[in-house]
Formats: sequence, structure tokens, C-alpha cells
Amino acid sequence: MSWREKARTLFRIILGLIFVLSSSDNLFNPSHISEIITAYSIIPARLIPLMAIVLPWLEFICGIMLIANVYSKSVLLILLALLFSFTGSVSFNLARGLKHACGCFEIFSIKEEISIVTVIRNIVLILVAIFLYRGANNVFIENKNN
Amino acid sequence: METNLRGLFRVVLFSVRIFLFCFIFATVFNALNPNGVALFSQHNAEGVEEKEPFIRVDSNHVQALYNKVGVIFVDARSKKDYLKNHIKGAISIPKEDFTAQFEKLHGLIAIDAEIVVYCGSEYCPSSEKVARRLMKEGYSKIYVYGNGWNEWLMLKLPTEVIN
Repeated sequence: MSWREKARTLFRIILGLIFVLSSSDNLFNPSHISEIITAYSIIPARLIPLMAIVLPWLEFICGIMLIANVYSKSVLLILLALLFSFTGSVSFNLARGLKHACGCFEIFSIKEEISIVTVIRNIVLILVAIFLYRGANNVFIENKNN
Repeated sequence: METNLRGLFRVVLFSVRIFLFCFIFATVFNALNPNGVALFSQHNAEGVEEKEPFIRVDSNHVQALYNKVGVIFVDARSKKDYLKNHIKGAISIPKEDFTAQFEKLHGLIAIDAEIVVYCGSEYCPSSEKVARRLMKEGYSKIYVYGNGWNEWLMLKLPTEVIN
């Protein structure tokens, strides 16, 4: 295994764990995440409950699949879409002067407000996801085709 | 080139399938989850809001009630959220633990007491459910503070943490 493959495995597990841990606190309590989404003031009010229900599970299941290296390429595409939308939302709110909870890693009791640090961290995660995507295989699809 | 496009199409197709699986799983899980939230607002087929047995109050009305002597505030969120922080002086009666918690506290609440029930925000159903349970127990002066904890915190009104 080359150093590049070792790095990919390590980053894949770390990125997967980040999504699993950041979502796990909200899986059983969608009302909490709906408050956070409300504070972002971007999503129409009618869609907030649905998003609060689906988003944590999407992050959690994709995180687990990434750690297990199952359909990694497709999973990374979803995670990239999420990361781009999170980064866009935080940047948009910072630009219009809004200050509210990030809702990022509350499982560790971190009450973090959105800031430029959040944006930089998300950009780093996007770069990691792109690095992983370039070397990822959709394991089950390719096995099926062989 | 064609192979690359076909490969990308397959990857996108599986992304859509994964998303749909998560979507269905999450909505089914929410329906079974005692802390689940309502997918749709409380309107009947004609688009008219269903008649509620309690009074809904906004931030001005709730502050007036807070300053009135004898009004009891009930926190319908989970015990964990209550312990983290809550409206100063509120008691905890979580929806999922209503019977046990109510047994402990009902002797302290007069049957004609005015009670304000709140949960996290307008999207959590717990305050309404606890309000309905309290009405079944015979309490009639029930108010639901719909915007709840989220708005109270934003307005920087008195809160309290239990260590």
C-alpha cells in the first residue's frame, strides 16, 4: 500500500467519523436541529421540519458508508454537496452580519457560533473530500460489473 | 470519454439512490420516534387551523404571564435539554416521561393554576402534547408558548442552569 493510499484510508475514516459524530446528537431530537436550521434563515419555514428529519440521517448513513468504504464515490458526491451548501450558508450569513449557533459538533458540548473559522474548516473538508473522490471506487458497482 | 460519462452517470445514480434511502428511512424513523416532529402544519383539508383546546401565546403575552405571580412554566423538552438550560423557575415535564414526572409534581400544582407549556421552537410538538395531557388531567388554564425556548433565549429573558 503506497503512502497515498494510506493517506486516503486515514482521511476517509476521519471524514466519515466527522459526519457520524456531528450528526449523531440530532438523530433522535429533530426539534433541536430545526431550531438551528431556523436560525440560519435560509430555508423556507415549511421545509425546515423535513430537512431537520432527513439531514442528520443523511450525514450519519453517508459517514458510516464512507468509513466502511461502500459506494464511496457516490457517498463523497453527497458529502461534497452538503459541504458546499454548509459553506455557502455560513458565508452568506456572515456576509449579511448574522451571528448564530453553528450546530456543528454539539455532541462534544461545543457551542460554536458561525465564524470565518467555520468557513475555513469547511473548505479544508471540501479539499479532503475532493482528494478522496479522485481516488475512490464505487466498490459494489465495480464488483457487479466485473 | 463515453466510458467516463457513463461512469459519472452511475456514480450520480447511486448518490440519488442513497439519498432516497436516507430520505425514506429518516421519515419512517421520525414517525416512530417519540421526539419526532410534525412533517406538516396543523391544518385540516379546508386549510383552516384545527381548533385547539389551549391558548397560544406570543412573546409579549408570555412575558406578561411570566411576571404574574402564581403562573407555572412547564418545560416539555427532554430532561437533558432542561438541565442544560431553561426558563428561570420552570419545572420539567418531558413529553416522553409525562406520567412519572406528573406523578411527582401534580401535588404542587393547584388545579386552577395558570400553566404555560413550552418546548424548543414552533417546530417541536412536545408543548402541545404535554398541554393536551395536562388538560386531560383536569387543568383548564393552559397556554402554549409556541416559539418556545429558542425565542426566549434570543430575547435574552431570564434563564437558569441546573448543575
